[in-house]
Amino acid sequence: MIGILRLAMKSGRHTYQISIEGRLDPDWAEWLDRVELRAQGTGTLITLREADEAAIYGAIRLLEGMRCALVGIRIVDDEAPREPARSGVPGEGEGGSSEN
Amino acid sequence: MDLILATKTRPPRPPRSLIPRPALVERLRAARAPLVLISAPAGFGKTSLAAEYLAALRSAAEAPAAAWLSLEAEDDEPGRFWSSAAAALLRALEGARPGAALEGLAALAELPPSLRPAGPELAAALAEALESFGAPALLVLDDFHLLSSPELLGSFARFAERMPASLQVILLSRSDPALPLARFRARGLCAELRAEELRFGPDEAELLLARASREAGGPILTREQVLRIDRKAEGWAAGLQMAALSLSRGKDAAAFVESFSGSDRFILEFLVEEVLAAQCDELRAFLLDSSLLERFCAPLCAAALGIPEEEARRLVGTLEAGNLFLVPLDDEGSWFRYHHLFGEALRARRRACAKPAAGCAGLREEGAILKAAAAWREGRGEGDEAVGLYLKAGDPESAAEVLSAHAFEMLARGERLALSSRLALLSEERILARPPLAEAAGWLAVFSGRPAEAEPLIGRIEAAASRAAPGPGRELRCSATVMRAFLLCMRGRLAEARARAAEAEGLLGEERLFERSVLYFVKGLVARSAGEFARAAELMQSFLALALGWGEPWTVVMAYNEVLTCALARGELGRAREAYEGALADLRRRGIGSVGSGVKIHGNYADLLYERDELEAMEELLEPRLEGEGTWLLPTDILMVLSPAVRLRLAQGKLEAARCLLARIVEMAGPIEAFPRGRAVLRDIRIQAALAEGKIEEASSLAEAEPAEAMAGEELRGVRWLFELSDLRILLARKRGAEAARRGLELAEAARRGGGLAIALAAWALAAGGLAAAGEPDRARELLVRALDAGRAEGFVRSYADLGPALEPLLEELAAGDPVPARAAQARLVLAAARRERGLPEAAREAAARTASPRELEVLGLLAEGLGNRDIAERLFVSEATVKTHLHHLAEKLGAGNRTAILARARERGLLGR
Repeated sequence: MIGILRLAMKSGRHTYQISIEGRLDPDWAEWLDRVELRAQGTGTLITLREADEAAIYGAIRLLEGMRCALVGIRIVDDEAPREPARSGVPGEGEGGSSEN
Repeated sequence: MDLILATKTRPPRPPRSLIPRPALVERLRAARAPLVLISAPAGFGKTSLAAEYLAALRSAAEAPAAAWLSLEAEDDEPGRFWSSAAAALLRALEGARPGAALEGLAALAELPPSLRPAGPELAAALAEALESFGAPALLVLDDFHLLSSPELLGSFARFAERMPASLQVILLSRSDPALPLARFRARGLCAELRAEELRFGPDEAELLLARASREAGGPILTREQVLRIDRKAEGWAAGLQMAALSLSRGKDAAAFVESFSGSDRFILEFLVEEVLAAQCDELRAFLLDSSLLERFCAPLCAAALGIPEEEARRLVGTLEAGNLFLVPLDDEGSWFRYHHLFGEALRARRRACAKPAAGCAGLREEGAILKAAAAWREGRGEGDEAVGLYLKAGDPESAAEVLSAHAFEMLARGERLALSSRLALLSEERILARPPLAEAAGWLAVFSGRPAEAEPLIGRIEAAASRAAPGPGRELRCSATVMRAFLLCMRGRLAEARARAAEAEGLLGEERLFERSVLYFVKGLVARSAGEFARAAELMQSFLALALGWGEPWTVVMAYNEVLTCALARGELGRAREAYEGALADLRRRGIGSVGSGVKIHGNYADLLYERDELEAMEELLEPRLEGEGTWLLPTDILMVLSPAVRLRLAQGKLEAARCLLARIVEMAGPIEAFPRGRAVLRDIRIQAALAEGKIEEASSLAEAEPAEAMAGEELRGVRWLFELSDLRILLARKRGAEAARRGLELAEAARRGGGLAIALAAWALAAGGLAAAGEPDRARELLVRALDAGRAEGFVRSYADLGPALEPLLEELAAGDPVPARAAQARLVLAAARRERGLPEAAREAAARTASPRELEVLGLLAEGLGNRDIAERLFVSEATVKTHLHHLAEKLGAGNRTAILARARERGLLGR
């Protein structure tokens, strides 16, 4: 998925919400902390608090590794939720950010 | 040490223009956790910081030996990863304390790939080797995010939780690795440095920009300008670095800062553009072109880019001097690569150039560059590199050609996985069109232990053979036949295997050492299963000779093992011992040692020790290999090592322990089932265990579930004899003496004719027991004497002693009054073995109780915490059956009957108060 969708993450720590289909593996608590799960129909909404870029990328790869079907990701901060930007520049995690 | 590995394990020097970050170095120094995770996206200065830390350590007194491993995508496989880690540690530890006993690490690092056991065993062995080394060590793993194999990460996670206290591991990763970080954090197992800590603050940014600017002769920036740049770059080291590079001679600082801050493009894109713009045309083209090469030196650039070598040298020199993200790979300063992020950005830029009107004149075509590089590598005999480059260049034909020339060499070195992954990148048509590749692919499939996949492939190889030119086609078809013979052998279809082997033999050329060795193996195995032991021994000797000539490690180990098995079957115990010692010495010389599949050999030797009643030596040999840690057991080797162990425990009267071991074997029965001999051995120890506990009915059911008649046909005669031997034990236990005697004599005669003296001896002894039970003491004595005489020279003991009470009166007679002194002495020896304490004498038991092994204490501790067996097993990194064995030992030592009692007694004895 990372290969197809280039996400530009905001620098610093943010709260992200990841929607997946189905439920998470029972021992997910070993792998993810600062996390809240909520059932969302047949899927699950995962809220990752205070995640920096390395953490959110790590979480996405972890979920892929667990064969979870990712439906969506968004940043949810104190302000209203906003979509992170998409770009067409290839290459893993640029590390920089852009003002959108 | 292999060149690439030398590069990967070379700790990098801190870059010349390093901005020292003493606060962060101090954080690292103060970190006490076993694992330190530096997790931040590319370009945050992780590698530089780690390099700075290592440099600081080097000047400190009593610093830990520091090892470095730069990971690549190819390391995402447990065998390769752990081996490389061992090599890195070896390099560091040898340097720190030359001459220290580092055999364990060396064995790991040099283990031929085809002999590597699974990840967890390797990790455990590494931990063990480090523990015995003792001194503090540090291992830095760079680019850890490249690892995603669940098997590998699983073994790493467990390793992290069980690391020796003397080791600290630093992980550098672009994103949080798929490790149970939540658990690690909760247990205080990892310390972290993240992006926000790695960001350059305004003062550091000012330093960096000032220094870089000075070196490039660029403009001096005001504090305000520095702050704006730092804010825009958000303290991102790579960004600051590139900004500095963009400010070259004559550049207008204010204009740059304006356009940088105001830009809404991605920083990386913007800055790379700027950096490139700041270079002259020649250098710009060189940067973009050379970015296609993962690793380069001046001559390689020259060849790939079609420029004179002098020019290439000059350009590389300029890049180095200009701080243009060049990372040196060796100490001589000839090989380099770009910093990953910069290289990726350049390549992205290059791809953008491919679109029309992008203004990148003078760039060569990508395919042409890669092909030229591949050809250069090929010219230097670096086949593996060349193959990779040709594939990247979109030239699978050339890749296949080069691989074809190297495939068998790779097989000979045991590099199965590497070969396999290369082949996976080529289409099957291309593979089948080249006999060497087709053969390599076929053998890989055959050795993979998945006959269901191998067979169809062999069919396609045969089809390809008929399409090929007559000469090569014939050879290919012949190879395919040998493959079929081997597969059939592994599946226990011995008559068919024999037929195929005969077919292939006529067609094989002299020089085909490998195939001929396999044929000997097949024929030898067929002969042995058919009970033709003399012939089998000869054939296996030939197998060994050819295997040694061919040199592939796995095959060599297998051959030594087969020779040993034959010697034992023929009752040539003295010869077997020599063969064993010779094998060990040779394997050590070849750097194989006794790890990985080499452990099979010890199983055979254990059988020998058992027969000669050298039980202490046997205990010493097997004990470290039984407990599931630091052991090297592949599923098919389990039986070879655990079955003598079962017999040992039975002889020692430790029936529970024997049961535990048996349970473990049965757990892994799957792969054993395919081998007729394996089934025979398993059946025999299960029957012996049952009889030892007096459970005759159970033994009988086991025997009936797999009757000897099931091993029908000529080709399974030798295996059937083993079945019949076990059946005789049951007959004797049932006191059906006359029948036991009759069948025993028949069996002994047949076995003796086939050269299987070991079976014959055991059968005579059993028959003698039968005659004694049937009330025919004279005939019994006669037969026993015959049996004793046949085995005296070679030192046979337990084949007689294991018959216990049945032969005791006779043996006593002989011991007391036999006219032949040697025979009397032998009888006394056998009697002593038969009467060996069924349990340890009291004094020994007390002593044993006082000394619970460290392992057992660990289990005890976890038991006291209320953990169940499964959890204990996970914590300790072993199997559940091992935990049960430990619990059993504890129970024995403490004289306790169950877990509660174990804990109570342990508390009483103060074993828990720590």
